[in-house]
Amino acid sequence: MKHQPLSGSDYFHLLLDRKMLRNGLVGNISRIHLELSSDSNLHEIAKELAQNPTFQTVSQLKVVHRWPFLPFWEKEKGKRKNVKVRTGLLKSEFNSIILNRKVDNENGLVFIDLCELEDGSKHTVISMHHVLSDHQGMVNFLSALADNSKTFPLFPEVEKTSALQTLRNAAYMTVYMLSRSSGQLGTLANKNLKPKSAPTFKTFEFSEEETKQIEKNAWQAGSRIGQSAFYISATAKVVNQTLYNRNQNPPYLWFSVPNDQRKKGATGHLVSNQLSFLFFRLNSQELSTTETAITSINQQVKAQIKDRITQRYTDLLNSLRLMPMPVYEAMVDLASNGKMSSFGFSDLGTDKINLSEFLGAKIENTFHYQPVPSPPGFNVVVSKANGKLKFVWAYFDEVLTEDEIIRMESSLRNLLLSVS
Amino acid sequence: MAVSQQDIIIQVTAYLKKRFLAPDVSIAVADQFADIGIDSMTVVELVMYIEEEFGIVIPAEQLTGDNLKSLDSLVNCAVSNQA
Repeated sequence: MKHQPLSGSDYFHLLLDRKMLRNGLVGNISRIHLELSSDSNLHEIAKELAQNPTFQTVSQLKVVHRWPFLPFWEKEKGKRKNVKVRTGLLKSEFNSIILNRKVDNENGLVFIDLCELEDGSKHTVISMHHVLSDHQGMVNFLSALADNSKTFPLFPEVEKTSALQTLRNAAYMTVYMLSRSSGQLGTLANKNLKPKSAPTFKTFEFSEEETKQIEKNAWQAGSRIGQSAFYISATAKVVNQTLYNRNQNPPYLWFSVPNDQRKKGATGHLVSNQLSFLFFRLNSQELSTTETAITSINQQVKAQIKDRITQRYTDLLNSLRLMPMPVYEAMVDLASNGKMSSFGFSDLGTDKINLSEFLGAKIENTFHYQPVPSPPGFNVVVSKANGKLKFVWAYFDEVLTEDEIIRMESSLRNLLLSVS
Repeated sequence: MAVSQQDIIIQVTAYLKKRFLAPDVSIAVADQFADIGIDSMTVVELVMYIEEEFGIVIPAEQLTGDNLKSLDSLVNCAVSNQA
């Protein structure tokens, strides 16, 4: 295999992984959980997966870093058996073992668990390290697993860029980041927090009727192109209210939102993240109503598009691949005083996993479990499937109490569903 | 001087291809943006491109799903707002 360099976004995910491992977590790992029909044959699925060329190739990949050269992907020789069938699992074991499975560079960056629980229910969990892929890559990987005939390029084409321009943009973004986010950002988690347990995932779905109402409310509140600004502002308000209830009054919330940099119109490659970010800062005045928050978000989006922030940030991330990891980490900590951000947020849009079957087994439900960097220890993913809006909150019990979560959910529902 | 609808379509299509579309992907005026994977952020960029390149500002109340679903509808909306 020709040496393929990691993207800047891949290297950034390695940095997040390092921080998560340091805090005692299993790492920067995304999971897709498929609930299968109870008549599914797990051993048959395992057999098919063992022969699947895409699965074999991806599970053999590892990151090699020989500083001062760029980190690159290498394929290990020999097959890896990164699939396991388990039966008789308790629900609690499923949550603590399977949904907390570690995947790493040494043993393979992807693992598939096929489980039968004590209650007879059957599940597939695909655990994939975020250095391997962004959400679209994971969707492509799942499609290639489910259907052998579907093929995807393994890596994206490396675009030729001017080194001078890349360095200019990197310098510009360094100043931009240092001047925008400082240690005063409000966050739910203490920066030295080391969660003792796996993250908790809370999924709540809105009905089709509710979703239509929410989209109407988004438009009325000023979220004109898509609903993301509405969802972000409601999330930020809920986080800010929680901080306020804790007698904290931070000068502002600061967070970044991933922006898909993949070229449109093609499904694209399997491995390597192609994400950049937009950055938002909302002060307490802007957070006073959903409308004021949306107005500010809209202005910040426009300003960042004009300033080509997503492209420039891609250049910064690409330049930082040359940094040894400890220096990289120190730079990121300097920008945010180790707090990273107030919360994590991703809007996946319409769910792209369009599968009713997985290797002959009927899929009854699909869940995405995002990695939860800590800090901030609270991460929100929004998606829409079959006309229904879905929020997945991932958090640590050390970051949010059960009472706070109940209050936050009620506030969020109220903010999204009420017409002002 | 007013720019013709055809000129706007040609320029916006060229911008889309250069900046956002995968190689060998083409777009017809009636194609739904969502079907090609064009997300809301990209649509914001298109609206801003039209504003900067042609001086046409689409009022906020006209930024509806119907007006922003395809090149055709977006450019029609832009043309109707030409001074």
